[in-house]
Amino acid sequence: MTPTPITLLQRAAEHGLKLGSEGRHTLTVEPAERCPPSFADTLKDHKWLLLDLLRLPFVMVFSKALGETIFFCQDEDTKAALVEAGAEPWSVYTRDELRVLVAQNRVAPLSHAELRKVHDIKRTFGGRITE
Amino acid sequence: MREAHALICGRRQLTVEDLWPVLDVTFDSAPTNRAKVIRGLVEAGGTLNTSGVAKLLGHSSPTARKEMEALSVLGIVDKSAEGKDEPGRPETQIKLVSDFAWFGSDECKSLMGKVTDIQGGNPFKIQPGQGIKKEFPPCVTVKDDSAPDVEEAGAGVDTFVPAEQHTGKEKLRL
Repeated sequence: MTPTPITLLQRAAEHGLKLGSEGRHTLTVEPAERCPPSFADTLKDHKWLLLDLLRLPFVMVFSKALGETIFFCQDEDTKAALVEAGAEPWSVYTRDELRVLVAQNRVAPLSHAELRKVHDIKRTFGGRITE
Repeated sequence: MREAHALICGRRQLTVEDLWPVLDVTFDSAPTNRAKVIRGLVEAGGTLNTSGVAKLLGHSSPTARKEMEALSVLGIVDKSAEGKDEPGRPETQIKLVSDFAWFGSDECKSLMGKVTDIQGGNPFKIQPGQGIKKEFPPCVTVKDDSAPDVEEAGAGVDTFVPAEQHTGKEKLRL
């Protein structure tokens, strides 16, 4: 099965690799010595999709509270692009959603259980966090 | 909506006849499967079990249980203890919570019955051959994301030459 750009990004993270770009046509991988040759070939095969992905304003993080990888991104358009690249819709949090969570956290700190509940609701209903 | 319905029926006062369109539109505002289950709950007096929901949806029991769980999380129904609905054991059951108990009443059922009585259930129904015709434009362009555009592909050819794959201090450039 062809890996999605998001899957490759996650595999790179598992190898301890950081993907980046130099200009429009060069995909960079560092540290080079950690990149297995076979994975370098795979990255090369999907270079253009990865370069498109890396141009998006987002970060990928592993949440210990949720026990899974999630994405923080700028807006709904970026979220749509991430989903097209292989991210699960519920795993993507836009800046507006984070703003609501942060505001709520200031009012009353959110526990891990509450965060997980919010995440589960996002997953079950394909929901979005709003005020 | 009630007022609008009364007006188009030539009345200036609201009557009970103006309630069913509100109910109908409200139910249909939910996702399709959820709307089917809610209508099923109204029809069944407020209680359904897994097999009933599966029959309503025309899907398997796991799908039915998922929809039952969704209604439970939304606070619309109370769900009996989680089970796998194995043979010989009671099925999982959902029941409208007290706040929504009216939807399981005969009054609600009677009102919803009007939906199917009045003009085939939809006074605004568009008959076959009428309404807006949807047609595709004569030419449809389908974007192909599987490959880079020509300019980028051409510009990147050199970078695929093995000699270009080199390591800097710590960076691999592809």
